[in-house]
Amino acid sequence: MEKVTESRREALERTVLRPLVHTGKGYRLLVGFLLLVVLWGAYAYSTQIQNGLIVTGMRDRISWGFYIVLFVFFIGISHAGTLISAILRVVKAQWRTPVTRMAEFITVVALSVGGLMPMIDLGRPDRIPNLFLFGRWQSPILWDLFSITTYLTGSVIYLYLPLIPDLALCRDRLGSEAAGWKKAFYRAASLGWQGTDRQKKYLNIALKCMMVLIIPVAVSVHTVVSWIFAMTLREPWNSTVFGAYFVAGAIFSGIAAIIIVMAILRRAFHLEAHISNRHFINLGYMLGAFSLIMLYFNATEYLVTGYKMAGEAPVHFLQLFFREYAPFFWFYIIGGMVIPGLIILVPQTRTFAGVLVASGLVLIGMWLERFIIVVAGLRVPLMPYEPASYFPSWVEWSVMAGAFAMFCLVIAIFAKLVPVIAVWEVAEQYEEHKAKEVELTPEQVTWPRWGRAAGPASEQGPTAGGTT
Amino acid sequence: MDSEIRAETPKEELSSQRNGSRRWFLKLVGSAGVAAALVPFLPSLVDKASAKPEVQNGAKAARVRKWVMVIDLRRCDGCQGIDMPPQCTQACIQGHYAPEPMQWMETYEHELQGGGTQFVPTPCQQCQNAPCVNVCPVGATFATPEGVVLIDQERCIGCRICMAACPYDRRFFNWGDAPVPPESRLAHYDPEHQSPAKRGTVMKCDFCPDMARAGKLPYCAQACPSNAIYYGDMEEDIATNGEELVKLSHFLANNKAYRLKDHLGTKPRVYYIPGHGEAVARNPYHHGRKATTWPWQEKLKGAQTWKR
Amino acid sequence: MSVRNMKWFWRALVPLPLLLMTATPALAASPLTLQMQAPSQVRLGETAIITAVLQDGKGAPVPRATIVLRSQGSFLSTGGAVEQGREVTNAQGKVVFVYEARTEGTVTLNAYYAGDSRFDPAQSSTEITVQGSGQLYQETGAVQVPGVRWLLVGLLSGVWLIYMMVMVLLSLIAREGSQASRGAGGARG
Repeated sequence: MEKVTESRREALERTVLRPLVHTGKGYRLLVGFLLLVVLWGAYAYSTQIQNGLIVTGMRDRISWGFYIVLFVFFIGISHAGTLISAILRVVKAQWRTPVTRMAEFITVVALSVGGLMPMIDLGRPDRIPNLFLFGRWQSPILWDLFSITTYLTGSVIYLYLPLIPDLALCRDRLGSEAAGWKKAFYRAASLGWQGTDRQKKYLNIALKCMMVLIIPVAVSVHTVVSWIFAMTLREPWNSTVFGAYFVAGAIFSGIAAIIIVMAILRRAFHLEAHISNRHFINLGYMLGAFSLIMLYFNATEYLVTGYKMAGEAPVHFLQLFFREYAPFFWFYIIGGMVIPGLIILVPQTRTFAGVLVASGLVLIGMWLERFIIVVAGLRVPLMPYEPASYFPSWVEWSVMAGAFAMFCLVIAIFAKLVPVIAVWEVAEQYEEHKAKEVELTPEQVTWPRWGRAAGPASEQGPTAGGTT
Repeated sequence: MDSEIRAETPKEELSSQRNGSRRWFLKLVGSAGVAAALVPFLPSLVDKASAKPEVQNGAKAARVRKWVMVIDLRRCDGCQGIDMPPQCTQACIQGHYAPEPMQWMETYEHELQGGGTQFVPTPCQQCQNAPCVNVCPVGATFATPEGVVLIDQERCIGCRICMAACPYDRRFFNWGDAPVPPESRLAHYDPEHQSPAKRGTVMKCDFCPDMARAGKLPYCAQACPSNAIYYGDMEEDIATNGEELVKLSHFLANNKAYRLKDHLGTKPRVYYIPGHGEAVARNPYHHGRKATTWPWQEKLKGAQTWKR
Repeated sequence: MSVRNMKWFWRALVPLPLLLMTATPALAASPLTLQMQAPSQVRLGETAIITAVLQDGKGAPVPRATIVLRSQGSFLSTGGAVEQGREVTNAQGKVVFVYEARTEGTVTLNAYYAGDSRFDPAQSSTEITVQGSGQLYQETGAVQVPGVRWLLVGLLSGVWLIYMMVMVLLSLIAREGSQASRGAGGARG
């Protein structure tokens, strides 16, 4: 027993640290490709700097487009980290530990990319200092500025804190293999971590503070993002439910993003022993729960507005349910919420593959939902004129590709710099289980009993007794 | 359980180390508190520059005009009678060098009950609870003491949240360099004379307060062939369309004046007297008006227009 | 009839022309008088009560006559008469106007009776000096909720203070780390 746990822990360290010193050809190709896409997006943006926003498809009547859609989408995804890391840490859910690092990665990167998008959307980016010189606290955009910088700072801190012991591990273990600059980085960033009791005490205090603090900060972020829309008088946006709706949608898309990123990283770094399908199923449960919550919010929104059909509501319902945006809307409702919900609810489809498919559908559906909110919301005419149409230009498509590529690229670089699993936390869990003399493998979790369905053997993952 | 290890160092070592680190800790917390107080955004938070300028109300304060517009729709036929594009729009474009395709004064054709239409010339409504002023992050859109909502295009960052917020479709963005005549480049820029147009900023009707202060009607009011546009002052309770003078409050009350989208609570300063051109013998079933033109002979090189 | 009787007949007819002469004005349009009563001074923003009485030449009141009160004014280079009120005389031939003084200086107020089939037009004029100054029109402000700004400042400062505290803890970890590596190290976790 002891021997098994020891070798599991050593196996963990070995597996997780290996990518930091060995880089395959596939990785280089991927990074090269992503870099190219990012550069292409930068080039597209440069044409916008040169010629003005006329190179986009936005015009007076639909004055926001892809950029704001991407802003809301990425800020939404950033709620992944908060949920997995903080909320699950607060409720002491055991199974989350292998997942926390990736979740926190995603948060920081998504916030950075998302925070970049409104700047790309500006007509006069050279006047960004005006936000600081003449900022009006009454403006929803300033609320965004405050809350996103606060959340980004908090997320970086929250990513960094549990990273310190792992950085110390890298500093100590990666002797000759790591590059010189990497070694210096580990040494500096690990803050002289020796694992002393006092250091652990300080770290725990800091972690406890942050894990509680980051939750209301994250909730406030997407609430104020929603208020960019809800503080206007536009018919489809003039709703009090926007704050809660957006936060729920953010967590929803965040879970989907974690599932996909985690699946890719697990495959790339051969972490099957430490992240089993059980983790994906559990995340899948949360995805399913949130799909129900989202369906509820959507039902509320459309039933309450549709019953009354006041003002311009008929125009909005027509364009959304039957006409111009119907394909997007119904894909979002059915493909983005109903089908993923069913995949999770039906035991036969509640597998790793099923969860992965559901996540993909959710991400596409949530992107479409942001698109509908922004563009269809602006399209409802304010005066008697023919509704305008919005067709994004190549610049906007390129910037979007660049944004997604940057997201993947930064995660890929992170993954080569620091361990993608919180080694010290997982290792401590293994030790605790050993100390309690309970034969708990990472797959067995304190999740509701009905979650441990008798599925195919692959769901269980490698059992105790074998090394990977 | 979570990673919690109980401290096991001996008490004496702990207390002596604690004293030293406590002092250091307090020093750090003190400076941290000061640093926290200097959070970068606080200066602008504490700044008194809010959207509502203070009303001068001293003992011998000069009276401030409160500009208002009343548009008598009984006299507006969309310039069908003279077979031209709406002259209010044309005069505004020419007077201000409004870039194509901006119509700061735009004549919409609303449907009436019973199938006819009415023409509604719609300038910026100069709301007293302006959504655009409320949401602007840098205060580029602001209200003057006279109640006029202006835009400082040298401060505007082009975020366009004001355009999302305006319920009247009265704000226009310089997506590129729009066609303007060369002489607009010679104009001295200020928020009441929005020339030359600046790319990446927002523009709109400014109510011509500079002309009113100089004792003239705005371009749109001057140009209307049936004198349908009255410009007035709520402080002196008077208005004129260039032809006659009226007592503003009586004019509004006696003619059942209304405001656009009043239920939204924006408190606009533009009033309308219901009608469809009957005072100039317009047939309300005679739909359509001529398209607006931007008749610059010369345009700046490299300018391109766009569809709104 | 004898000639002596006819003489008295013709004498009886002598007053007739005189009678006819006096009776005729009552049948043709008679001149009216419109008399206005107004204070000579009023403060800016306050109302002045202006009464006008319409009487015919004999001092009899003219009821149901429309009297229009106009002030002479100018605004934005347009001069002219501004209608301040329009009332109908009562049985005593009297109308009451409430004139709100919004324009500073001396204001000329004219009351007009347009005339109809019965009567000729009539008018009267008076001047009122409007004194004082001060803003009359005030916007009804929105509801001001006090302290929202400080709530925002408080929340943000609170969060950033906690961040600072965490930074301090990090520096403590670093300090502890350099101490531990120098001398007595703690238990390796």
